[in-house]
Amino acid sequence: MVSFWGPHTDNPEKTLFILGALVTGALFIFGLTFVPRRARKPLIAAVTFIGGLYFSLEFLIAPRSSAEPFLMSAGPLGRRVFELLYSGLDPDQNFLSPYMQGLTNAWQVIAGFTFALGLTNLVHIHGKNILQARKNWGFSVFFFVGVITMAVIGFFQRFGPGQESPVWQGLWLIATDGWLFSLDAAMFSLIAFFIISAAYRAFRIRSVEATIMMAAAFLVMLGQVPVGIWLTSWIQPDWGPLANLRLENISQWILWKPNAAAQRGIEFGIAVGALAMGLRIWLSLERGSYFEKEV
Amino acid sequence: MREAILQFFSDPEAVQRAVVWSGAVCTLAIYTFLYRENVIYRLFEHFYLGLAVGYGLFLVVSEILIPKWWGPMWNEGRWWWAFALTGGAMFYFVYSQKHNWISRLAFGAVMGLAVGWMFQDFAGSNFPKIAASLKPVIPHPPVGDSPGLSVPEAVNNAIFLFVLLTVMSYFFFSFDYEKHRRAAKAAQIGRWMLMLGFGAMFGATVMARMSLLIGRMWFLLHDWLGAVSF
Amino acid sequence: MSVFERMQRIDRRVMYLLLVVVIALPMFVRFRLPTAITPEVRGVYDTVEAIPRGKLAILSGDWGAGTLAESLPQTEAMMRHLFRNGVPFAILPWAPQTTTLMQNTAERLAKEYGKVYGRDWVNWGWKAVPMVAFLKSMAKDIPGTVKEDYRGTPLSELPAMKGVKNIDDVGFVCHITPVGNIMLWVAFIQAVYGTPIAYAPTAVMVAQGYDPLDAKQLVGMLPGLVGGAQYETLLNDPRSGVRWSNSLSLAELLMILLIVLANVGYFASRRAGGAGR
Repeated sequence: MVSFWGPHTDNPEKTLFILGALVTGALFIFGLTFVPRRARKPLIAAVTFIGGLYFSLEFLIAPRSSAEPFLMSAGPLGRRVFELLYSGLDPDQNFLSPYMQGLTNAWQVIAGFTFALGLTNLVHIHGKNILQARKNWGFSVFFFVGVITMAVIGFFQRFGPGQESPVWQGLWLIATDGWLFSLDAAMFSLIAFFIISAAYRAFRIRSVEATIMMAAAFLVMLGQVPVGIWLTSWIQPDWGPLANLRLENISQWILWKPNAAAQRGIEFGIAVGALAMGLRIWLSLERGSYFEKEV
Repeated sequence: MREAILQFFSDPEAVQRAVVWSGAVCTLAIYTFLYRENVIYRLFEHFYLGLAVGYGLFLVVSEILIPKWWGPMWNEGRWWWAFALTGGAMFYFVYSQKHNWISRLAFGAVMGLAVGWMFQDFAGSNFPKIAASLKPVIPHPPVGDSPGLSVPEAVNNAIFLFVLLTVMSYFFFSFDYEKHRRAAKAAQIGRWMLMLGFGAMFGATVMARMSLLIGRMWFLLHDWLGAVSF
Repeated sequence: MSVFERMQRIDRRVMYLLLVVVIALPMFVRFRLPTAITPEVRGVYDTVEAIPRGKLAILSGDWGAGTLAESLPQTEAMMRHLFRNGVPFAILPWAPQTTTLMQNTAERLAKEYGKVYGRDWVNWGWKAVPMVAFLKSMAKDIPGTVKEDYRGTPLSELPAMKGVKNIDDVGFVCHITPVGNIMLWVAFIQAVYGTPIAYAPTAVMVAQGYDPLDAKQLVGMLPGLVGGAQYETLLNDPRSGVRWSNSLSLAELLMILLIVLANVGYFASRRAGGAGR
């Protein structure tokens, strides 16, 4: 006899179980609509706290290798706790660790469902452009042409008869390598042009800080490329301390010493700020337009 | 007509030529923007957006929803995966005026999870860095297993510590710089050291962006026109 | 308009054209400039040379066609080295395009080295975010987390994955990426299990990479296109990296020249009492 929790592989009742789960979920959401207004924020705070609890505790709770000597020497109660929580686990696991994989898979699936949030938004914006014949609505038509073309070719070449069809496989190659990846690369490469004109227009030495920044930028840029290495290649490596004046050595020194220290200082500042922000979010202490919005 | 199409797609070289020509047309259409804003660029820009969204949709369904949700739920009979639809559906209440708060339950759970990861990440990435920041600054010969420290290495370590401390002092806003001149001076030096770091980052950014263009130029000159070779 | 003001007002389209010319020139005219091998690149090379026999390497990546010029030479150089040394590796793509791009690169190189998919390398297929949960889960149970390759073949059917259970069976990881998520590998894999991690960022993330390098959290780094060129030089097999780094050199020289020109014009016109920008 198959247990309630399944899995119900060839069991014809699986449809009923799935439908039952869907109905239960729908009833749960329907029930949420009756939650009184003053209970909503505490509920959100509780869910946020529980969400953060798993990974925090999984990190903080001792693994089996650390817990075992302590609990086993703590008398019968300690041994009982050890058997209850840690038996059958690997030495570097605690009792929360086995659920990691299931949580990962569940999170990937739920994240997959949220893809349609962005899609809905884009369809809404471009759909409105077309339906209301706004200015440049023709461009929005091309947006839908792109979505439908890629989705149709993708699904046909991956599922059904398209898997064996050279036509669908060829179309997929054209759609991805020919269109999407090329457009992606071309868009990114425009930045190179913009950076040169922006640096030319905006980069002026007006202060000590700008001078330091420009000098560091020039030295790092030149020291990493062959032409910069060639510029000071006349300085021989066996010239003792003078060899440190080769561009690549100066560049390396800047990157490994002052730059690394500055980056670490920035990282510490950001990390402490992020930690404080994280704690505020986890404990629902954060304020701002989203968190203070009326529920 | 049908046979001609089948023949075309059955020839890998013909398909590859079509791929390269499509890529070249798309690239040149985007580059028309460099002269000025124009219709061709806008058309391809919107087409690109649509392609990216369609591609994302295909991947989410084929790589996640079907193998990790539908497969286990329907083929393997793990019926409890149906509850994932409930979790996913809660996000969509963001579109409801009246029940918008239900989406905040889902987002709250996600934010909580992210914060939990962040605590682990903070410990794993920053604690070793704090330990590594405590560098020796006094030169000494080798002692036992310790390798010893030369004068240049000691000077470099001292510079490292100096830069680190002055940069960190820049971020501490607890001092009133009017009253504490030394702290103000340290913060000013920290700002100069930050500029060193930003200069290095700018140099690296320039290299990165130029590399993007080099990749496209190679595609046009080598793959499309065949004007250059390796 | 004085000549100094003209120096600050070069038309942007002229600059764009000059940029295209200096980048294209080395593609037509071959010349070899010296390449200096930096310690961070040497660190990666030495670590790959020392991968224990029987261990798997992981080439993790989330790059796309947009960063091809930097990530492709890095990926190719790593794959060549691993193929040459007979180290089986797994491609772990984190972005949709990366599955195809890295697989295509491996297939192209496999023909040169006589390597076979499934035996000498595998492609685990695209894994969606969140990276953190995946890394933590994968570290403890690779077959259970990854399950199947990008074609849907169970890992148990791939010879390269035989005996690979968890992160202890991995001898080296190289993360090839245009985004700054290397610290996730460091925090959840290197810090916990001590697995050697190398970083192959695009140049824009290079400056941040020196911090974990100094803290010995990374065994080495391939900084952008230049890192790929250096690695090709170490392998004694100059390819696209070395070739394209000449274009990069001239592009940077052009940029420096333009900035210097603009600043000379700025200071000169200020001294002359003009309305310099």
